[in-house]
Order: sequence, then C-alpha cells, then structure tokens
Amino acid sequence: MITESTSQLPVLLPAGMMIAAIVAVATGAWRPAVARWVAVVATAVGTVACGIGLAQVIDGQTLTATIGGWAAPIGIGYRFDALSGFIATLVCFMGLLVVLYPPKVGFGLSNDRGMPIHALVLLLLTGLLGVTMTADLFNLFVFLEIYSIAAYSLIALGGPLAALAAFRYLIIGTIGSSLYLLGVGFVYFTTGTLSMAQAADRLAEVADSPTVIAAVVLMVVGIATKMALFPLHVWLPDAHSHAPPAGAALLASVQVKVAAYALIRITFEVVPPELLDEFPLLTILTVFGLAGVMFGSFMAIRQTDFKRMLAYSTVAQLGYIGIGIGLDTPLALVGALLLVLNHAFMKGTMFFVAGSVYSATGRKSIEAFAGLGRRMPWTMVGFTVAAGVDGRAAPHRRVLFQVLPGAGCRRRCQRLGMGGGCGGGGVQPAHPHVLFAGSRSHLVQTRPRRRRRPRV
Amino acid sequence: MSDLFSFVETRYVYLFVVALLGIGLWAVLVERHLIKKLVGLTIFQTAIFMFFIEGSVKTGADVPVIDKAAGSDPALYVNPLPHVLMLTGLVVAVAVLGVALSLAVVIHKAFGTLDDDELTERKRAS
Repeated sequence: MITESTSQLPVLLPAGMMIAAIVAVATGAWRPAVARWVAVVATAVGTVACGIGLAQVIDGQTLTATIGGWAAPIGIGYRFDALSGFIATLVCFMGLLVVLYPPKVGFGLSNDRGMPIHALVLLLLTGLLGVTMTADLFNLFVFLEIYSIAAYSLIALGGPLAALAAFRYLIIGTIGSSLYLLGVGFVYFTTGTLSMAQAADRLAEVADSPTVIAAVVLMVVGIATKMALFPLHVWLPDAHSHAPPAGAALLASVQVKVAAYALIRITFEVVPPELLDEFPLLTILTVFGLAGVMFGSFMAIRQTDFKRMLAYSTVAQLGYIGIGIGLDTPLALVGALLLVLNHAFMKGTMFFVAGSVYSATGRKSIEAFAGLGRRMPWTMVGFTVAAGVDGRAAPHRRVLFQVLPGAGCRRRCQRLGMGGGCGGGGVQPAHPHVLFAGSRSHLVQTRPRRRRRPRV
Repeated sequence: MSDLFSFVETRYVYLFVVALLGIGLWAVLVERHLIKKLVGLTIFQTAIFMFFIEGSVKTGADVPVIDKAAGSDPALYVNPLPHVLMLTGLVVAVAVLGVALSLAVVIHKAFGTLDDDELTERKRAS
C-alpha cells in the first residue's frame, strides 16, 4: 500500500544543511574549530532525522512536501520515500564520518587556517540531499550543480595537480549537466511540465516520438557523466586520486552514488516503460556497466599508487551499479543498492586509511605499505576489515546475477544477465584481490623488514 | 526543395542552436588553451539557454502580469517558466565559470602555463 502524507522533512533536510553551510562560513572566519562543530552537529542531526524518517517510510509510505503553498505539479515537489530515505541516511552518515575525521589529515590543512572546508562539505551534502529529495526535473539540475561546485572546490584543495584534475572534471561535469538540462528542455516542451510524476504520465502518451527518445538519451548521458559510468568515467581517476583523502572519501562513497540514484529515478520513474521496450536503453546501460567492471578492475590491478587504485576500483563498482540498473528486475536493483551501501563504507574506510597512512608516514604506493601493520596496527585493521567487507559483499552481487534468470525479466536482458553472470564470475575473484593486494604485500614483505629492524 | 526552404525558415533557430552546441563542444574538445575551453563551455551553455528561450517564444503576447483590461486569457501572456528556468541556469553557469576561472588561476600559478598538452606532460613528469 503506497500512502502519501505531508511532512516538511524532505525540504528541511537540504535547507538545514544549506543554513549550516552558511553558519559554518561565518563561524569559520572567526574560529575554524567552531565551524567543524557546526558541521558535526548538522550532519549528526541530519543522520538522526533521516533515520527517523526512514523508519517512518520503510513500509512504502511517501512523505511529500511543497514549497510556497503550491502543490506538486505547479510548485516544486519534494518527497522522501524508502529509496531516497536510504540514500539520504547514507549521505548524512558519511558526511558525519568525514567531518569527524581530523581536518589536518583529511584535507592536508592545519585546523586553524581559515579555509572554509567544512562549509564546502556541508554545501556538498546540501546538493546531494537535494538531488535525493527533489521530485522536479529542473530542481534536480540545480542541486546537481550545487554539489558539483562544492566537489570541484573540495578536489582542488589537494594541491596543484588536484586543481588540474578539478578543472578537467569541471569541464566534463558541466558538459554532462548541460546535456541533462537540454534533455529536460525537450521533456518540458513536449509535456509542459517539470514534475517527475506528471512528466512520466504525459511522456507515456507520446512514448514513440523521436523527441522523447532524444530527451531520454540526453538526460541519461548527462547523469551517467556525473555518475562516471564507463566510458564517461574519464574524470574520475584523476579527481579522486588527487583530492584530499577526506574529500575523496566523500566523493567516492556518496557523490557518485547519488548520481546513480538520480539515474534510477529517471530510468524507472520518468522514462515511460513503453519506451524501454522499444529502445534498448537498459541493454546499453548493462553493456557499458560490464565494460566498466572489466576496465576498472583491470586498471585497478595495474596501479601502483594506492589512491589511484581505489579510484579505478570505484569505476568498476559503478559498472556493477550500472548493470544492476540495466537488468531491470527488483532483485538486480536491490543488489545495486546493497552495493551502494557496501561500497560507500568500504571506499570511505579505504580513503581514510590512505589519508592516515600518508600523514603518518608519507607513503602513497602500495609496495611502500609493507610493514605498516606493525607501525599502524589499528589503521591496518580498518583496512583489512574494509577489504573483507568488500569480499563478504560479493555474495550480494552474485545474487544480482544468479537469481536473475528466474526473476522473469525481459528476455533480452535475461541473455545479457547470464552473460553478465559469467563475466562477473570471472572478474569477481579479481576484485577483492585488488583490495587485498596491499595487505598481502604487507604480509609477505614484513619478514625481511622484521629482520632488518633489530640492526638499525 | 521548397520543403527544405520552409523547414529552414521555420526552424532556423534550432539549426543555429545545434551549430552553437557543435562549436562549443568543438572548442572544449579540441582547443588546447584552458581559457578557450571555458569559452567553448560558455558557448555550449548559451546554446541551451537559447533553445529554452526559442521554445517559449509567443507572438502577440505580453509580460505575464495580469492586466485587468485585457483579461486572463493564457494566449495573451508569455509563459514565464522557461525564462525563470534560464535565469536560474545563468546563475548556475556564472557560478561554475567563477570556480573554473579561480582553478585556472591556481593552475597558472603552479605550472606557469595554461596549455593543456603541456600540463599533461608536466603531470606525467611529476
């Protein structure tokens, strides 16, 4: 039973984050430490609020809010259902972890420099929560750009090379969101509405017109660029590997996931199902997802820099999410969402470990991690647990592939699903190995080090 | 032939928009100077704004403030929504451009060049 009830929660979450960001700028100019506490309180309150909201909507209810007293098709609608609640809780919680992580280590800046990093983090969260809550196509574009602007600035904090990576990301990201905007324009001039629900109804009537196909392709390509789905991932490895560790943790764990969420919303709630039958959009997503998994895993194995390996592994994980969306069955989608959760924690932890290791020892390459288990036991325990979580989650992803043939999906996807099962089965063992590579080299290479140590 | 003429006559703005999109994308992909890439990006975005504005053109309509004497017939007023959307779009584009230019300043300070190929080489070297 899907019921709707009115609540201001979906508006208050992004608005509250935005207000916290402004407060953090003001207090950050006075005392940066206070700005950090503002960020901690805002994200903690956000997490609790999302958690309470999620508990309320978990049985299929939807909380809707309107702005300015105009109901949804005319005004801008916001909604909080189980899917957006899940993503929003994850966003707030990862935000909380990132602001709790010491700023000196996380962003390479000393705590008393007047850099408004926490305001940027809060602005990023504003955009992410906005994308999760909004039920309006144009509003989605605005929030996409809000979080992107914050993301460009956060990446650029990592130094000159990071500024270059951020610049290139900015160019590609802006082209992506402009394409999305163009797609929204097509939808608006075809249907005369920007509300997702109303646009879906009206698009279904004209599903076979080339304008609608063009609109859908433009919107999906735009969002896929933001999500870094292969082959539109080119900005991701540089941006995530040069970004400061805490920034990279936030970007890899939630930013690209929120874009994936937007892709889910657009594909399944706006694009008319008749069009999905006619036009092989989901098949294309699956094929590119598979290609991304292979390419990302292959590139990840070849990297020597730890953060760069993590970045390529993110490309592979986003490929899995793309497959989960493209297969178009409830179970595949659940698998993709489980992967969102699991990858957020795994990659977040990994980037935190990378930051701690770099600030304590100055080591960046995987080979240099040898012997760290002795020097930084707790950090490396975190590393191992995170790598283990990734291995443990593999069954979820297997579920994604193996249950499919029985789930009654479209025939075309079924064939691909089985192909994906084989491909995934092949790549699957490789992936945890990539992540274990660091810990394994540490296990293997500690011995010579141990021998050397007494002499020094 | 006359079909083609009438198509061009009625839809020439769209051809213009497509041409602008192409020029913008070309500049972003091919130009080596980062600032020229930004110019291309701005042209690309402007083309999309033009598309929205063109789509909402209405001849014989007035500003969307209801005039008591003229009545409230929708045909008499321009649809304000696309214009407001593009106003928002412009603000977003200016903000992004601002961030991009400040990043270009940082890059120029650090590397002494804004040439894309040279920056790639510097990046490899470091």
